[in-house]
Amino acid sequence: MKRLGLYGLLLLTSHFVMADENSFTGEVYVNPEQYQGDPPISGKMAADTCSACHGTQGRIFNEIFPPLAGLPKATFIKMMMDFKTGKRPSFIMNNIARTYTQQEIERMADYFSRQSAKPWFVKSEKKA
Amino acid sequence: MTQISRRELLKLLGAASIMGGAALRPVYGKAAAKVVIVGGGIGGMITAKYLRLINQDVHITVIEPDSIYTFCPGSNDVLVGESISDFQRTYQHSKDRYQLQMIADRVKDIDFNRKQLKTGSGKKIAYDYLVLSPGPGFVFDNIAGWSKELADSKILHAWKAGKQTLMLRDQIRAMPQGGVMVIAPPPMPFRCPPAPYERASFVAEWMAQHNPRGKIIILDNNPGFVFQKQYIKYWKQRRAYGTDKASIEWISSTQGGAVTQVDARNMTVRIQNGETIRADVINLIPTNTANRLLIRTGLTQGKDWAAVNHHDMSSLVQKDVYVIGDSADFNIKTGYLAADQGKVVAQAIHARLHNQAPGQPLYVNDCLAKAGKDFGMTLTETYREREGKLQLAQSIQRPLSSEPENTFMRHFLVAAADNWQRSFRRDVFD
Repeated sequence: MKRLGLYGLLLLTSHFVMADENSFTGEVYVNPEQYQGDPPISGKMAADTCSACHGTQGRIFNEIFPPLAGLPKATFIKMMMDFKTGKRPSFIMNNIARTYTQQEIERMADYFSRQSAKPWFVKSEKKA
Repeated sequence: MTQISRRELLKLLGAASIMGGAALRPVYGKAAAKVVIVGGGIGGMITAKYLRLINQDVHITVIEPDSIYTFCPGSNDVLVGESISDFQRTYQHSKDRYQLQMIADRVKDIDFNRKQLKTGSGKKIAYDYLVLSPGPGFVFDNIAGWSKELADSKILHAWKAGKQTLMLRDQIRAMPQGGVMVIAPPPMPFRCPPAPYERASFVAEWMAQHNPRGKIIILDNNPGFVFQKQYIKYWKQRRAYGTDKASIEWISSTQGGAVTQVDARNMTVRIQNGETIRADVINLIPTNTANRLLIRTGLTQGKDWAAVNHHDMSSLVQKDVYVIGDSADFNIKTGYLAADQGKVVAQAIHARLHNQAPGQPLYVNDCLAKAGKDFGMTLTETYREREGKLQLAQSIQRPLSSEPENTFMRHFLVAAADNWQRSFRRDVFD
């Protein structure tokens, strides 16, 4: 309850506040459903924000980050919604999942389900 | 049977070949647009790659003077012994696979009316769309006694990874037992906000083993910093922070910590509160601005950063010009965000080439940082755009101060940080 209260407060205060150095020590969370009326973010646009960890098209993976490419839509949606609600605990993904709307998660699921499950260009790091 | 033109067929083959990992062969039409990208760093290379992945009918040129790129993310590890080659790439692979024209040169001037660049060697390069991702500009003359020459030789910044990273590493190694290193972060915003503190934390960890009486003093232009609670907590646990045995000391701007003057001969710095501090290594990080090329060509309009429409990162000053990365007016400057911005620009240019409006962008900055080999942290940050302006929709750091100690989480996030760097390098260059 306490947690909800804090986020509720942040939601009220942060909505009209531009990012500034306060964001360095404070916590900001705006319920993404507030943006539901905005022009939709495409599945690819949203999915591309995953690629720094999960690789291009969700096809680069390693000890920590699993592939996302080729996941059945329903699997991806369930996983993200469980991360979002906290039903499935994760040090990293709980906060990340909470930043997307349900519709954005569905569009990302659609995008990833259409990507080849083959690893991205298997090639060891090319050193200079 | 459906009619399919030769060009379409070749395009399809091109798209298919990428799945298999072979080079992507573009099929240029007569009217194929010329996209010129200035800067072969994270922003520039991700723009080139992500544009090619969705468009095989566009000429992509990257202008970058260096032949080897050194990633900044991870380069603090090099200061304490990691091999720099782990963080380096050549451009050959990207050039071949994404069919880029690489030009090893520096851009001297931009003629926006003629849509033409002039390079240092006198070459003229025409563009239809120009993407500027040249990294930050550095200011040296706001610290008395400092200069670019000193910054390249003795009073280093190591804020562009590469040669200086190795020079600073050697300075740290050569410190006498019980020596002092000063690290001076510039005022926000600057490239990678947690990095000066990460650097201090890594060197302190290294000193515990190699120079146990050595000391780091952070002389700050800022009243606070990202991950401050987490770093201070860690330093209290490990570095006797706040006691007279501390191996890290932090003097905030509120305490007058900003460096005003440096004396390279006597190796002293003077700070705002009047104190003079002697050190064996002085690492000043210069104030960041937009790159000088953007200042010179009027894209900053006398301000520190190039004004952009955050809907598609297009310049508010010149048509068909996009500015991304450290030079753009964006609240926070990180490699993660430069990559997101590059992806947004790639999609925006592709849309425009098809007479469509650029789609709704999304920028996230999901940063993983380390305080030491046993303490990782994460920042989850989201920016949404409304009417060309950014809105901070989320900014959460973990471990939260309310969270109980979790040794497993601390270690897990270190592994996550290292693996993120590896995936990220591949996302940019493979």
